[in-house]
Amino acid sequence: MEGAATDVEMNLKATELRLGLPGTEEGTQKAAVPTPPSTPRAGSKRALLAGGEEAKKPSAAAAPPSAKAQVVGWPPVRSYRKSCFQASSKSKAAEPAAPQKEEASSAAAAAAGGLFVKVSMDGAPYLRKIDLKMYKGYRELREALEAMFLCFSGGAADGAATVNPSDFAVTYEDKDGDLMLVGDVPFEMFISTCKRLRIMKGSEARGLGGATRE
Amino acid sequence: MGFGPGRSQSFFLVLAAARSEKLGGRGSHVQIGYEWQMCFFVCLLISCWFLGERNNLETGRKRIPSCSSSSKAVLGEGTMTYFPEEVVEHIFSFLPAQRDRNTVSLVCKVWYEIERLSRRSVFVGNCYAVRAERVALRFPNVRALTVKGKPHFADFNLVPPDWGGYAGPWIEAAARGCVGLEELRMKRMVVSDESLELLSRSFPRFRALVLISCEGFSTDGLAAIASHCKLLSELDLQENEVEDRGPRWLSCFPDSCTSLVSLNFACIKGEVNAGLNLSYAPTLDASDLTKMISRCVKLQRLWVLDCISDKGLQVVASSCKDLQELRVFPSDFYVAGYSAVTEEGLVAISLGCPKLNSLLYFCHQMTNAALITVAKNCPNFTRFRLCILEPGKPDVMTNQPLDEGFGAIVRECKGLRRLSISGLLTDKVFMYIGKYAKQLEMLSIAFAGDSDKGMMHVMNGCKNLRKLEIRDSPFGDAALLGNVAKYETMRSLWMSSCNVTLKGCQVLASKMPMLNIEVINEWDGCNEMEENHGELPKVEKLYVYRTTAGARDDAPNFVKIL
Repeated sequence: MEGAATDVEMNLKATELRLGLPGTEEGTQKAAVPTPPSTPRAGSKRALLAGGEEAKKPSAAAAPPSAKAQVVGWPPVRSYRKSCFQASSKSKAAEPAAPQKEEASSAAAAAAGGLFVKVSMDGAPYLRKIDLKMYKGYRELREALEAMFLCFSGGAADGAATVNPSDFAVTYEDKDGDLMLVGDVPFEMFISTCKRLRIMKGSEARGLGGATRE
Repeated sequence: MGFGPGRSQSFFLVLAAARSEKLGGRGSHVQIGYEWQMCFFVCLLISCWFLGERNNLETGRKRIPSCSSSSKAVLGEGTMTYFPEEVVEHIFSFLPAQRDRNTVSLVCKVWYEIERLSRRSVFVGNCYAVRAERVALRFPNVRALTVKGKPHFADFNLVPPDWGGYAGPWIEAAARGCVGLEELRMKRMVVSDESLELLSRSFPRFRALVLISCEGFSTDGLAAIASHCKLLSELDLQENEVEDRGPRWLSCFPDSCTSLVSLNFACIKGEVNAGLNLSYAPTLDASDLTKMISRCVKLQRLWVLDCISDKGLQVVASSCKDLQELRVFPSDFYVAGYSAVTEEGLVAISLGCPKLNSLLYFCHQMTNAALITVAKNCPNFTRFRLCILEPGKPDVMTNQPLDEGFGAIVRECKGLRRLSISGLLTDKVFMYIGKYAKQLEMLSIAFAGDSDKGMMHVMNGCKNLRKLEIRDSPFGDAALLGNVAKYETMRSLWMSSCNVTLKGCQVLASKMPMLNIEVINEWDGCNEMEENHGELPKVEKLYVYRTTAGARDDAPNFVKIL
């Protein structure tokens, strides 16, 4: 990879690829779309170094800090742990600057390719937001949602899951505005079309819930 | 001739027998007599060599030292085993460590036979380093088998799904050849329900199953284990991807099941006495948390989230004087995010907990001064893993690389076996690591170094290095090929997003036929070399490991084995 400009372009291009459906832009045809490296190769990172620049790697200057949050496999935390916290970290006591940081980072992250969507649950007093990128598949997503909304389901506190999956249906609103059941299409395709999630309860959901299997 | 062929080694055997009697038997006393036993075996090796040489001179033939059948237990020329097998086997029982048993099995054929038939525990660090059938054939009486599959970076999604690491061949081979199997431990492997079913039906004395970070099975497989393993006493499932088909499997344990002692399938570890795992509890209030911890004065192992804050770590430091292992996990994964722990918390811990030997610490900032202080306070580290969330971040006070800080760690902690480094690092840190980290067995590198020299310092200097894993660092073919013989002494090398090219890998493959060079290129799907404006295509992910099994036959199409 040659120049600094090409690298930044490559970065943005790489993130665009992730969001495309097959046939649109240069979207790949494969079902299992791996996330392209969103960090410039180490060698090319050094290409960004103007002569004699000290200390900080300039890629930090070139891209907003939260763009690096999209580095694959970084920080080195097992995905199990990560998915537990995507659900619960936003509910911890807010640090003074945290709400702003979260806003900024979600806006920046969205610009860099993070896929935050609103999640609503029928009957819950407020909505949540999750980054669809953080999940490898439907199972992880479902587990995260269950953890996130456990407190509203009328189940026991402190983690003993008494929620009956068939009482809920996880649905989403796609690009066309239609309400779809989660689980029908390959996960990568789902991620690229999902605009928001809605967890339906009760009579509307009966018969639909518990059906999401990979 | 001073002493006859049998006498020198009989002298040493008597010495050993006397020593073993004095020590009173197996197990706990092994450590005390360890140096004696190693001395003994070295002497035996020498005496065996002498005897072998004498044989060669007498018979005029050149052959490796070998022995006549020990069942004769004959005194005289060419006999290596003065004592019956049972005695030799008993002596071997004082060497539980696999490394030592491998060594004694090399002495002569008789010892090889005795050792392999009496081996009870086998550890396979890389499932592709050796064929499962071969292990089962060699050790038919094994009771405890441990097998590891995917490379460590698979934990962080750097290894594509379907890469490999299948448990099937191992369970099948054991079912055919090792029916006395009692314990099976697997880590980062793909285990199917069929394999679990086979496992549950093949080993009548099976009592312990431990699966860590595995995938590919469902609760149906667990149901088979619960139903058919009558003597099951330990079932330990940690961080596995299990397809949940309902709680029915729990009821498969027979009502008469009185054997189950340890059951762990939650994400919380069960060892509450010596350790506390609060790393999945973000909603715990920091002050409640510290209040509780301040009462746990006997705590040896603590896993927490960074919500504990530097203040909380100070409480830990003043209360938990027996602390040996500390892990501080991040609650905010964004590199620009916020963490309540900094270098100050780490320094406080190092001041208060002198017994600390194992650390995993996620934070957003660090300084050289802090690391130097930590190194001085805690020279007993065997595992030191520091993860600064922002790649390439320098010392937050001085803006310098963290070379000096990590240099101090490797210099002071002479027993360091595992190290993970992060932050802004130049080739200098690798120079320190190569120079001082002589006991280092595993090194994890990310976003570090300036040139090939960095990696070469490590390859040339770290004599005990077994596993090296590198990502996003500017090491290329020169580093890869700088010390090819080294790979024979290591379990594996992982390099991803570095500067290694396919050509370099091919050169390595041609020089070292006993290695498997796996080139993993997901993006293409297949592995055609792209003529990319004449530029040498870089290898996305490289996994190199020594093996006696040759190229594996279960590799997916995005893995090319050179």
